[in-house]
Amino acid sequence: METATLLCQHCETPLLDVQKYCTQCGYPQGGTAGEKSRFHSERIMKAQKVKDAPKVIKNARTLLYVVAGITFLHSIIMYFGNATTDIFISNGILCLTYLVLGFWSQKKPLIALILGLMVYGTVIVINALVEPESMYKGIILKVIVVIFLIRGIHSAIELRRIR
Amino acid sequence: MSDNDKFCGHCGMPLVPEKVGKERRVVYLIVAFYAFFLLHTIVSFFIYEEEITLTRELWVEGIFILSTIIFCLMDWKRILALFTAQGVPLWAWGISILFPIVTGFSVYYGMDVINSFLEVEDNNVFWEYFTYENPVLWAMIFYVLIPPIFEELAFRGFLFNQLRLLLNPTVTIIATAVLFALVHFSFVSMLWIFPFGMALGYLRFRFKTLWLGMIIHFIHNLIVVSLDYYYFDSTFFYEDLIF
Repeated sequence: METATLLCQHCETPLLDVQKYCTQCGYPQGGTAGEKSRFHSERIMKAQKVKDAPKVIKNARTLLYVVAGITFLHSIIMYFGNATTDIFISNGILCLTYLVLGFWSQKKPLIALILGLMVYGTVIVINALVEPESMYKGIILKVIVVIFLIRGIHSAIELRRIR
Repeated sequence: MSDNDKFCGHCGMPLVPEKVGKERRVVYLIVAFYAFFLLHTIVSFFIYEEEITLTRELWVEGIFILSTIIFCLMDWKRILALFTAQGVPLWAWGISILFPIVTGFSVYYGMDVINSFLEVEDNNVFWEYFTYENPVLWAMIFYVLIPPIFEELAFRGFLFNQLRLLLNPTVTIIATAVLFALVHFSFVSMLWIFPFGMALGYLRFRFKTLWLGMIIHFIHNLIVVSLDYYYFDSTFFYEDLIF
């Protein structure tokens, strides 16, 4: 029977002579200096991602509130313009949906941000079908919102790992 | 190698796929599923914008059915297990017949009131099908038969199963209902589609079957299409065609 003769330099798990990698943390005990340094840099990057995750999620949440605010302002402007009541009510429901998802993202960030992204995507598609030129209106803001929501989703997944 | 090992001691590869990797795959699958529905709607919009014909409609519906089947095949074992009636009590079957009768009539007349209040034109499905040779048959196939089977498979089957890998049952039911309401592309209709989807999701979770959802969806759509047929005025259709 093989017995452990050395300890992992990273997590101190007992390892066998024949084992090149730590069976608990994956540290390349018998690897080259390059492999060891890559292991450490990957760990640092992962830790940084997890550390930044709440901030990234908060940014995504803030953007959901911003989109809710813009939708609300838009519906007010349209109300005093020539918009029909159904568009005004639709915008109201939409604004409320973004707000609820924003609040919900404090408790359930992953699903709230996924739904936020899907609602936002659906609205862009519906507007583009009704009025194709609307696709390019506020394109920079649209790209920013989508990027922040996707980053928020990735961070929410990272955060679930440590919880 | 012991059962507690997380990495291979010889190559350093993780022995169990990382939780993050698995969850990321599930999220990508959910986003891909929804993105497909959006894309399908865009394509259908442009196809129907030019002219609605039976052949075009068969193509659009055929693609929807095929794609739903492809998504379901990715999780076919767990979806197949949902085609069971075991353990469903008699009262649940009764509710599945009574509930859609209530929703069918109340949604039809309720939306009528809301649409007239909002000054939105009410769309009778038979405006679309009256030029077909057998309008009732096609309306039944496209509205009463296909959606209950394939929307239930897609939302309460595939999507529910995927979301359940990430979320608890309550949040899964809510999320499925939100997405189900969203793909109907009417924010006003969300007012009734969302609670309707919640009820279907709850039954799917409680009894672990798709049959109840399919029956409810079928009866609801049958009532709505039958009422549309009852109120459809073909003379008005011909007048509209002439002028």
